Amino acid sequence: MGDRGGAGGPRIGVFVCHCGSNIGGTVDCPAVAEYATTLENVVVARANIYTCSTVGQEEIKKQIREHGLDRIVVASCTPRLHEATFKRVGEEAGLNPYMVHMVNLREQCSWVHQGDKERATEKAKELVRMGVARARMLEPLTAQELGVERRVLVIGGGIAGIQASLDLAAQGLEVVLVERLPSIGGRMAQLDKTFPTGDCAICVLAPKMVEVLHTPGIRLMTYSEVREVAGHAGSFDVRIERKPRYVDESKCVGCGICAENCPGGAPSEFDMGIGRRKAIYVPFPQAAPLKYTIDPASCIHFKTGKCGLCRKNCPTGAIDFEMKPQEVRVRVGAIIVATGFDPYTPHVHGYWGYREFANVITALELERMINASGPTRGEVRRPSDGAAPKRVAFIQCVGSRNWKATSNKYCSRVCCMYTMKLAQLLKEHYQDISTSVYYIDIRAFGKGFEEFYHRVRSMAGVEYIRGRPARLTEDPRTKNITIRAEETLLNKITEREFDLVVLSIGMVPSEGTEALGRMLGIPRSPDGFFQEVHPKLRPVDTSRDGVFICGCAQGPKDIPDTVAQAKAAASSAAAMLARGKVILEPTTAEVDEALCEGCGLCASLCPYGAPSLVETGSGKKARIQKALCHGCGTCAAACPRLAITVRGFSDEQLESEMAAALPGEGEKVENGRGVGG
Amino acid sequence: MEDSVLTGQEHDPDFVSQIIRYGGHDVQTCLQCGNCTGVCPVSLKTPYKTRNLIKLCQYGYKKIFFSIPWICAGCHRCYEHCPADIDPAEVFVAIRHIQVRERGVPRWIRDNVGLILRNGFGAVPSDDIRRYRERQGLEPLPNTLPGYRTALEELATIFRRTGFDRILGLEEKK
Amino acid sequence: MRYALFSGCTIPNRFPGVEYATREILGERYLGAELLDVKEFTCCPALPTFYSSDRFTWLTVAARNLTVVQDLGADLVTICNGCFSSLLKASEELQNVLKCNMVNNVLADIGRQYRGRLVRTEGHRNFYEPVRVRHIIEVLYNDFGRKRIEALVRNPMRGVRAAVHYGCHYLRPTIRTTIDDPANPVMLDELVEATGAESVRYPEKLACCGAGGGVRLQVPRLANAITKDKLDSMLAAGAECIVTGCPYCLFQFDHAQRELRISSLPVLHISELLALAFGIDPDRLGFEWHFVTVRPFLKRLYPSVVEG
Repeated sequence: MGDRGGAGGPRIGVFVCHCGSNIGGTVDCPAVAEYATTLENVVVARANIYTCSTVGQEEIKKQIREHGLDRIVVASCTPRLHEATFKRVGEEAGLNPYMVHMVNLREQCSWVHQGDKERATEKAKELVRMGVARARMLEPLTAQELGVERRVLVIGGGIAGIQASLDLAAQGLEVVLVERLPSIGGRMAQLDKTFPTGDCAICVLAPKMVEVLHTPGIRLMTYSEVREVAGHAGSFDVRIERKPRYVDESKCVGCGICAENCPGGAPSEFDMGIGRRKAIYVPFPQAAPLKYTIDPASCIHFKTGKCGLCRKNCPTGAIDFEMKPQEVRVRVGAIIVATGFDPYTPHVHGYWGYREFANVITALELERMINASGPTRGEVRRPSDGAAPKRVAFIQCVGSRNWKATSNKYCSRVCCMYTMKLAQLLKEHYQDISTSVYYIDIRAFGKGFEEFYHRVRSMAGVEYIRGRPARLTEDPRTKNITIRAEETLLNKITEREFDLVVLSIGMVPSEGTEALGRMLGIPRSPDGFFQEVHPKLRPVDTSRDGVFICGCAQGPKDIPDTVAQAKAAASSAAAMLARGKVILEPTTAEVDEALCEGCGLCASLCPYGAPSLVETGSGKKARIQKALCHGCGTCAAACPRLAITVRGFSDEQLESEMAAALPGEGEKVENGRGVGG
Repeated sequence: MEDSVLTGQEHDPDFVSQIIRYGGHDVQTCLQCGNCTGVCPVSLKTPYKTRNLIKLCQYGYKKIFFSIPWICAGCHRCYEHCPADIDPAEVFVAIRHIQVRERGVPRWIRDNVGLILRNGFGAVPSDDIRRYRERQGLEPLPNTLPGYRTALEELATIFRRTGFDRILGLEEKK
Repeated sequence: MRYALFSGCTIPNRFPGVEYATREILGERYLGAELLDVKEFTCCPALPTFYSSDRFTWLTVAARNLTVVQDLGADLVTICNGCFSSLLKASEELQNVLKCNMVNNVLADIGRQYRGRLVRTEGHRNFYEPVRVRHIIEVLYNDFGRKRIEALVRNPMRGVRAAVHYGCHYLRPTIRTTIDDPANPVMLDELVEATGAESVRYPEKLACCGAGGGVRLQVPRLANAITKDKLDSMLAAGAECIVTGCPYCLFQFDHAQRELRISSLPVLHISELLALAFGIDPDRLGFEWHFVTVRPFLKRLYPSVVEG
């Protein structure tokens, strides 16, 4: 192998990876390496079984040192997986990390051309040729470092937000916890018991809620919403609106005399509309903070200007009808989104008879009824006549696992289990009750779940029926519901009468998810929940640096998974802040001000708001705020004056790569981008 | 007669793709939830259960369909409720296509098409109805007009060109 | 309003009164629409016959019918669910360029080409839209509206309890017929209520009449058994008559009741009901071809009119 580097020219090393049989099974890697040695400026080429392994990494370092390489090409997998690895290897051997280029032989060649070794090998050679051409044009770049604000914004005060806040505070970080409702606690507070252990939900949750109140590092803002987020990882500027409670939090002692005297009221949101609350209220007895709130929509004073009984009776003078929304600005280093879910609402005039037949209710409504502090004091009652039901049916997968265009395709992951829990609770409360569960599949995959399923199935009076109900009809006299379904394991259609039908509803993204996603610039997956960067390896990261997600905001999940993810998000945010700095990739856009005419097209197109127009001595010019730039290249592609370049993706680099793809290697593509421009 | 033990001999691996070829939905995604059966007017009155028939398609149990009468009412309630977004009614349409080609056309279809070839429509009015129409000043039925021959010839040409003649076995009769 | 009426096979040959009623209520005396008479139509074609045995022949025959109206500048209005479903589905499938070209290859032999309806011309380019296939229920509801119909009612049907039957092909499959809510349709109910009658709620409202897909032709007993469930449900809800938008359903309800010797619920097409409500002479509506006599029902409604 001769030294083709030549005096003064680039000295390139090429490393072709077998990736076990992933690439090696389809591409003749030694032949590709052999071919690479024939390319101009390539000093050395090697094929390795696993280039990312310690042995593979050492081999690269050895070759860099031995041959005095000044840049390398690694032909292996996607840069998403190992670009950081090989940059570090290069750096350790004394290269600028941006002098490392990756060619994706796995996703872009071997995996898509299995069974055609000969042509796959030819394509691999071409890809390597292109990579080498690009590598010749590489230039060293330097990453920039910025300081960070050691404070985290947590959006959402359910169990996910609570857990994340407590974990962050325990690490000595400041936390701003914003909750849209008057109390933290979220959906978990509405539950009676939790599966599979049967713990009382509020009994395990309330201590954590109280801990939030008493932890000095946590600044809690309930009845508040995030309105605007600017800035970048390490330094976000956040504007929060504190909605007026019309009750001075600093004076309210939570005695409740106001509510006792309040003549106004509305259905209780916390009790899913079954019970009522007053116009001045706390959503539930364990609310944190225990501060009253006036709902102007149901308050007589706000509607007529009269009443004012609460103000008259409040012993501490906390009522303030004149209260206005307040704006709070905070600067934080990281953001955790824990906005949870909303229960699916079955179509009001759909096939399930919800809101059409009185005795068809949702599982969350049952959950409130069966709760001792709920609207019925723990008694399960038929909405039609208040009688205790003897025959209860559950219908599974309502609002989940439906491939109709307008429905939710995903499995909501909790309905099988909470139905078991509710069946067990019903049995505990009423010995003479029978429960029939209409299901398609039962998913009991968690720790202790299958054992719980077994126990519930073994209970007398609990019956599992495999079949999705076809039709519900109401007896006009008794208001009983008859379910017609094919019991698929019997191969028979049955019609059975029930006193109460419970729809096991799934989850949908919470209201406002879309708007919050836009505000934060984080994407959502097709199911509408926030999208993680990698489902397995980066489950709480978003594509925006410094913004993390956890709990049901990311997708349906149960409490154990939510808590685990909340801890993960807290830990990821803390790790970022613990470094004390954020590294800004140097591969950002740059404006050549001599060419820029200040048209502003870049600013209007950038998804991250990085470019802005500034007044200079020679007219308006675009400036790119590097901390916001993701290097996506939208501005560079759009700029009519070719004034913008993305570093690491210069025209010269891309053009030489393209030219190498074309027959007659080495010919330059003339004016590639600016044709006719 | 149904086989009491299935050994895989009766399995036709091409059945599912044949169904798709004749315009049916992919039955492989069926969850076997049985919702279709429960809303099917025919399943309610006969031993034939929609879900079960779809399972037989998945299995590739093609020959069993040759002993099942063509009784899907085409009401599409199955599709309306199907969480897998399959339209069993369209699957049965595809199976009818296969049956027509492999086992021949039911007589009533041939008769109906014959009537349409002669009149343009599958029904003819009685004398009473003819008189009523005249009395009420309703437009004369097209097939009573001399110019309508052209339309009938067009139909015949279409049947010849699409191969419908051959599929129905109308050619042999001529 | 300009419509090309597609009356199909069942109505002109079995229930000519429905055709008469439709022409009357839509025509100048009442709703004032212009009805075009088209002589070149053939069978829609029928779904059980054609669609079951050869989809391509079905599409081509349907396309031929659409070519007949594409240049008339009118929507095609059907008064039968079968015609509606067949022609609407065809009009939608023909939006697929590949299928449309295949069909046009055949149509070329008879000197036709399906293009759809011309909507505008820009320079040398013509822009077409698919021929709009409409159903009488939806035309009455959307193009004229409940208010205009209410205003034309001369003989209010006060106190009449009607069981409304939409019929499958009006509602389903939803992917193409999105004209009404398939789980909770309202249009026919509202038209019935516009006459002053009451539309009763009954559990089997969305169920098939029993005749569809050739079931009646092949296994009449099965068809009648399906119908019986539906009739029982209607009777239990206290219905006095059935109102539908489909002549084949009408035919099935009518026949099944006679064959089963059970109930005697008069069955009316929505056009007939509106004709009665508008005050058109019942003797001209051809009720003699209904098997379940409509007379007692009429007598109650208009003692004076039916006396003769």
